[in-house]
Amino acid sequence: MDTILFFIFAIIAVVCGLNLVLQKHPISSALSLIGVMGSLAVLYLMLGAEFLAAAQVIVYAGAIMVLFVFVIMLLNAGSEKPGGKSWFAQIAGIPLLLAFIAVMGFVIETFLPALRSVRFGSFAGGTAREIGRVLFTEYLLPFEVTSVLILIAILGAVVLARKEID
Amino acid sequence: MPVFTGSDMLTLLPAIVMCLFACGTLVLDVMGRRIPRGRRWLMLFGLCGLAITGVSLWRQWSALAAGGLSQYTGAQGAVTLDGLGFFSNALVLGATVLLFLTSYRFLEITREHSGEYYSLALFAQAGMYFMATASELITLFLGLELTSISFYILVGFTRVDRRSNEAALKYLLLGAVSSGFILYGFSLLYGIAGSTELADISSAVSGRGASDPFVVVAVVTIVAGLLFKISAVPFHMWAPDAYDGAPTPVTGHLSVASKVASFAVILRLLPMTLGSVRSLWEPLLIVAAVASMTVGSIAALTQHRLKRLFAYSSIAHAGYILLGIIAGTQMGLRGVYVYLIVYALMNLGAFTVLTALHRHGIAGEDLHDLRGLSTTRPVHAALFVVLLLSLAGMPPTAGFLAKYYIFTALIETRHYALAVIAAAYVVVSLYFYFRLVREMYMRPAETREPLAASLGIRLSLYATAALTLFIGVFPEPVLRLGFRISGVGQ
Repeated sequence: MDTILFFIFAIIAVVCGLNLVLQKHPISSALSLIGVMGSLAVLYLMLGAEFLAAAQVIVYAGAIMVLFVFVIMLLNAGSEKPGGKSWFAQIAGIPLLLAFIAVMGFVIETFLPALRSVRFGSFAGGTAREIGRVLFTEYLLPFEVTSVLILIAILGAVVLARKEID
Repeated sequence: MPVFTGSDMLTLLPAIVMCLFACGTLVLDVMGRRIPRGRRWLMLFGLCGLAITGVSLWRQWSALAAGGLSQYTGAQGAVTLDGLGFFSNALVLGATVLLFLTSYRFLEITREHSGEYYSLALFAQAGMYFMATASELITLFLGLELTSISFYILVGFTRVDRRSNEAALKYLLLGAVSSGFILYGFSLLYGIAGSTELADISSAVSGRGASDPFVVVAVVTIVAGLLFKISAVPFHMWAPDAYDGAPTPVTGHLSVASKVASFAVILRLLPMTLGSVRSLWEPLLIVAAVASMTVGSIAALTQHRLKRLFAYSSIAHAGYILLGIIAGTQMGLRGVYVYLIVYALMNLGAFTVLTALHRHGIAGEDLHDLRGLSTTRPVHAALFVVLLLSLAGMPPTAGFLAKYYIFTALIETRHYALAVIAAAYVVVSLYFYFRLVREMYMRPAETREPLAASLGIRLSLYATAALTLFIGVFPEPVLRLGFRISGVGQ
């Protein structure tokens, strides 16, 4: 059951990812990106990372993608014009891609020792409680430094965007 | 077990002080809008913050010395206080003081004076504190980002200047890519070790050896990202544009403080943590060092914009400092520390002169703006010559001493070819530094407009030039202090 679900959502993620690159219209690309995010969230959930799955849906598929779509609509971006592809890309593109995949496959087969397969449901440390506990004990300092980082980002936005005062 | 103890407080004290004063500056900025000369108080408030930071750094150092410890790790293993951290922080602190002193008049002239400038400089300094002291990947990365983001904004601080905006955007985009590289490498290191602590990573990596594909990819990506941060060739593309467009005091700060902190990260990550796979990263550094010296020295020959010229010169200097790390011995390490001290002094001094050239209605960014400086401002011109001699590495200035340490280390470790190449580029650099001297002494003045010389600018110019000469003639006291702080033998 787990394996079947894994393959369903893995295939959805890959197909959406390809669609994202192949679509001519920015809105279609953005919508396929939501598909990638959503199926990734399901994969996280199956691995036991509940909090990460929820954050993936809320933050990425929700907030950030809404912002993307907003910007695309505000800019009123039309569909992409077929750019002048170089002859090199047209001739050598597909063979080079296949060669790259072959090299990667060879490297992974020869250099990496046999990896243990993942068992779904064996990891239970991904709940909000566990993450909260780690965040406020072991990773307290990085957490606080991140808040300073966000303050600087806000400060920068104010500095660069404000009107002339005097 | 309490999460935050008194000793954690001690390890984080300077960073906390810097962040508090940065926030305080923002509040004072809003409150002080109506007070006449309120901005002067902002600068003085920032300087107070720096003084307290200095005191807290000194307290940390004396606490360590009192306990007889060479290093102390606190905050759940995230921050380690050791010689490298103290050295880098002391140098960055000095650079920030000079930034504050030289910026006041510059910002008044460009009409971009506001409290955020000082606040961002303090936040950047807090970031560099974490860069220099972090002993855990997440904190290290956050330190890098804290510094970079503050600098992206500072580079684009003069909003009316189109080149400043362009520089900031370029720096932001390329900087984000380099951060991505570093983060990718960090994630692989975490995958190898199962821990973000540098000590665990060190033992895990040495267990796997240099032929493991994960280690190879991790090292290559991290080295690429770090070379970007020190603007070494082939990752130097951003430097000339960012340096040229940024407000001049920020350019000086960017070329000194962020480079010192980035070298602290390199020293901590490569020789200290990934020392067991030296055979992997040493060739990369050799290529980068030779390429940096070549591109930096050759490209500087044809520049006529001053800040671009100094950008290429600082690329070349990064190459020289890398040579010290490549040598890798005690002598090489000392060379790196000496070079960093001297580089900070002479580069800050040179950028102080460039800042003074920026006057009402005169950008002062081109080579011919220097014309006739020897007749209009003989003292400034003479001090600038001292700094240029030092940048070229001529005795009796400090620059000679720095290069001497690096060359000795190279010869000791039998890197003869590298030593010869480095020495050849010293000759090339002499030529382009003396183009500036020729403009100052051999050409008649084009304008009688006096230089923008505030007390702060004068103070920092006198201090840097005097120290450059002093170290060149009497190296003993300063070097002994530097070695004592950094803990690399006497």
